[in-house]
Amino acid sequence: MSGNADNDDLDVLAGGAKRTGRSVRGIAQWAHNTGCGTNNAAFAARVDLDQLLKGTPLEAEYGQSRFAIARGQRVERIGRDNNYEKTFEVLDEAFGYPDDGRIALDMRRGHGFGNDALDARAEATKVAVAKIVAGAKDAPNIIDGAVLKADIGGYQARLEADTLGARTGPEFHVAEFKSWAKVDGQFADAGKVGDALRQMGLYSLLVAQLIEEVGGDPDLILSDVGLLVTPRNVGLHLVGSKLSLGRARTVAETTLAALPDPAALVGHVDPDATFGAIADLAAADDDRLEALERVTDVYGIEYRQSCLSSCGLAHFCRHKAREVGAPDLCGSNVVRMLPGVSSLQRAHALADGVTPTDEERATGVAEVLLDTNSLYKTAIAQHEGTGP
Amino acid sequence: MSHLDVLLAAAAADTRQAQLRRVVRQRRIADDPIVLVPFQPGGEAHTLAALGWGDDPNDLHQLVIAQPLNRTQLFQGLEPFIEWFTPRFEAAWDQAEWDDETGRFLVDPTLLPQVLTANPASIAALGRMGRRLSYLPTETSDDPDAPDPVPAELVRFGRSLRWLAGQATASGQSLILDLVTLSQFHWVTVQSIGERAHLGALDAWIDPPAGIDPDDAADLAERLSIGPYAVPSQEHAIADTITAIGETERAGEPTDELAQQLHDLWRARIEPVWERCWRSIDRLRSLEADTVYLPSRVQHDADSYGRQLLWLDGETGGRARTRDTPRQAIWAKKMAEYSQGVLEAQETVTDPLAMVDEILVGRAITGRVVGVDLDHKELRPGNKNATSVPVVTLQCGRRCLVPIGRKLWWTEDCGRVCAVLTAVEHDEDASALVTLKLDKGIRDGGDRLAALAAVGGTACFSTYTTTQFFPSKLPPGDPFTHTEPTLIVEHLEDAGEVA
Repeated sequence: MSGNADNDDLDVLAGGAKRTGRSVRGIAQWAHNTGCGTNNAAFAARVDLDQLLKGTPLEAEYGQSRFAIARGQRVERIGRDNNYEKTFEVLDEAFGYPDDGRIALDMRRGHGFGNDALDARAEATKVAVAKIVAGAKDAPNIIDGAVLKADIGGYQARLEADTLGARTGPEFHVAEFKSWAKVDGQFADAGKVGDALRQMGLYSLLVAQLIEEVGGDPDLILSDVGLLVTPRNVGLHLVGSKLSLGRARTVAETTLAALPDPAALVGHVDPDATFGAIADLAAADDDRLEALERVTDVYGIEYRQSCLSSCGLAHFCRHKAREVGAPDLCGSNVVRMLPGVSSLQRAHALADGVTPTDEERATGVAEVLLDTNSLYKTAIAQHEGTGP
Repeated sequence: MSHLDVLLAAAAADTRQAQLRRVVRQRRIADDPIVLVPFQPGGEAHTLAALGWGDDPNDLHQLVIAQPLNRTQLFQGLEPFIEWFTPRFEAAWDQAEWDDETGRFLVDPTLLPQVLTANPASIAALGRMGRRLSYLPTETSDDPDAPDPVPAELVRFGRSLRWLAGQATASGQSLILDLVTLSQFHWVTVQSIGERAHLGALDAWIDPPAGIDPDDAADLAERLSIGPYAVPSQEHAIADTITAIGETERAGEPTDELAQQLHDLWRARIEPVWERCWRSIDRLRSLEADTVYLPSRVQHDADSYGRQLLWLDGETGGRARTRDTPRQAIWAKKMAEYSQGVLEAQETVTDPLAMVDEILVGRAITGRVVGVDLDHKELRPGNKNATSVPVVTLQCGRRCLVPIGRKLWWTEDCGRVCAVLTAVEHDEDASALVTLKLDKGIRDGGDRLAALAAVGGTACFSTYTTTQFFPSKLPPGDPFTHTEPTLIVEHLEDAGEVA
C-alpha cells in the first residue's frame, strides 16, 4: 500500500484523540506488544496512547527528562558548529572523508515547520541524494536532518535522520547522534545502544530505498557500517563508534512488514467505541474510562509486564488484570508455569486441594501446585518448630 | 521463577499479603549502616544533583549541587559528605591490628562499614561518581589537557567509592547492598519484575498501610522517584530552579533563596526514599540471620576491606587500572563463578524454604532417619580390605525423584558429609524408603546421623555442596589474542570545559 491510509473509519475510531505521525519511537512502542488488539487499533489510527488517559487516575507517566533533552540538543549543536567541523572529523576518522571540498547541507533550517516543510525537506533530500549518486560536483558530503519518506503502517511517514554522510565515490553512511557517553571506551547501557542500532537500521533501509529510487544501487554505494556519535567520558567531546547495520536493516524490514494494516479496520469500526471519547478532557473520569472499556471490549487487550514502560493504557489494563487475578500480573514466567489456570486465586485454590478441571489435570499443573503447597507447609512448620 | 514462587504469588493474590520465600537472611545488616540516596539530572550519568545520607533514620543529611554540570561546584559540593563519610568508612581500618601469625592487618568484622542504597542503579551511579573522581590530578600538571588539581581527599574518596561499587557484584558480600534486591529475595508479591524493581512499590506491597489493599498502596508508591533519576514530571520544577539559579548568578545577584528552594525540592524527592530504605532495613533485620555461613562471608568482607585500605594507604594511594587486563578479567570471571557456586549452596542448605523447590525437581530428599548401620563394610574398587561404609535409611513422606547413584550432600554439613543414593522402595501411599551409603565424612557424619536416628530426627540430602572445584591456575603465558587494553584512560574530564 502507498499513500495515506487515513479514511473515514479511522477518523471515526480516532475521534478527537491526539494523533501522531509515524516515528521510530512510535514503532518501538507498538512493537512491545503486537498481540494487543487495542494497541494495534491505536497504531493503525495513529492515536497517541501516551496522553489518552491524561487527567484520569490511571494516567501514565510519560515524556523525557528536560536535562536529557537539553544534553541531546547540546550534542547535536556541537555536531553542527563551525560548518559541521566535528561531524566531518568523526566521519573522517571512521571512513576517511577528504579535507578538501567538504559540503554540508543543513535541512533543519529554512524549511519551516509542519508537514509541508517536512515534504519539502524530503524532496530536497531526494535531490541531494540524486546528486550524490550522479557524482555531481556540488553534491553534499553531509545531509543534516535528512527527511526520509516511507510507507509505515499504511501511512506516509516522514522520518528525520540525524546525519547522512556521503564521501566521494560515492559511499553513503548513516550517522546518529546520541547524548549518552562512551566511558573508558565502552557504552554502559547495552539497551540504549540496541535502540540506536534499530533506529539506524531503519534509516539505512529507507536510504537504500531512496538510493534505488534515484537510480543508484544501494548494494554498491550504501555502507553496511553506520556511525554512532556520542560524547566521550564526562565532557562533550564527540567520538564516533562504528556499528554494523546489516542485521539491524533486516530487523527494520521485518518490523515494517509486520505493522498493523489500517485497511483491516475499514468497515469494522464501531462508532460507539472510539478513542475520542476517552481523550475528552471535558468528560468525567468515569465516562472516559467507560469509553475505554468499550474500546478494549471491541479490540481486546493483552496485558504484559512490558506495557508498563511502553503504553499509556498500562495502568488501565493492569487494573483489569487485577480484577480477574490474571497470572500476567506477575510476568510471562508465571503465565507459562500456570497453563490453563484462569487466575492466581484459582491457582491458590488448586494448591489447597480443590478438584481440578480436566485441563488443569491434563497439564499436571494442579498436581504440582498441590505438591508444592504440601512441601511448603511442612517446611514452614518445621522452621517454626511446629512440624514433624 | 520456581514452582514455589508461583505458589506464593498465587497465595499472595488470594490472601492479599506478601509471602515469605526465604526465611533466613543471608546478608549482614550493620547496626549503623550508611544509607545513601543519590539523585542525578536526567541523562547526566557522571554527576550528582543531590544526595541524602546518614546512619540514623532520624538524622538525614543532604547536599545539593546547584549546577551539577559545573565540575568545580560538584567537587566542592561533595566536601561535606566526604568529611562525614570517610571517617566512618575507614573507622574499621583505623582500629585494625597487625597479626604476626598471618603477616597482615586484621580488621574486626563487627566494625566493618556497610553502605545501603535503594536500588542497584544507585550503586551504579555511586560507582560512576567514584570512577570520575579516582583519577583526578592532585597536583598542577604541565599537560594542557589536564583538569585543575583537586584535594587528595576527593580522590581517596573516589577510589573508595569506586571499589565499593565494584564489590556489589561479589557473591555474598555485605559491604554494599541495595535494599530492593534484598527484599525481592525474601518476599513474593503480585507484581511483575519491573514493579518489583521499584523499592517504593515493592515496600508498599509487602507492608501496606493498615486497611489499604497492597495494590492500591503500590500504585501510589510507584509514582515516587526512587533514583538515581527523578521521573521527568517531578524534574520540571527542579530544572526551572536550576535555570533560575544560573541566570541569577550570571546577573550577579544573590541566589540564597533559590538555593533553599532547590534544597527543598530535592528534600521532597529524597525523604520518601530515605523512609522506605529504613523501613526495608527494619524489616530485613527482623529476619533470622544465617549463623552457619554468613559469619565466614563477613570475615571475607573484612579481608577484602583490609586489602583495599592497605592499598589505599600504600605508595600508589589505591590507584588501580581503569580496566582489567584480559588475564585479570578471566581470573575474575573464574573466581566469580566459583564464589557464586559456593554461595548458592550455602544459601540453599541453610533455608528450609529454599529446599522446597530442590525436592520438587529431584535435587534433594528429606525424611526421618530410621536407621544407621555404622558397622557396614564394603570392599571399595581398588582396595584389598573392606572399609567402613555406613548405611543410612530415610523414611520420606513422598516419592523420591532423585536417581539411583546420585551423590548427595547432607545439608547440615554439605562441605564434608556426602552419600550415594543406592536404593529406593516406594510404598503405595507414595512414601519412600531411601537407602544412602556414606561416601565422605564417614566417621563424624555417621555418628551424628546415628544420633538423629535414635531420636527420630529428620535429615535432608541435596546436590548442593560448598566443596566446589577451585579454579585452575592460568597458564604462565598469554595467548596472542590477549593483548593489554590499548585504551588507557585516566581522568574523564575534557580540557578547559566545565562539564
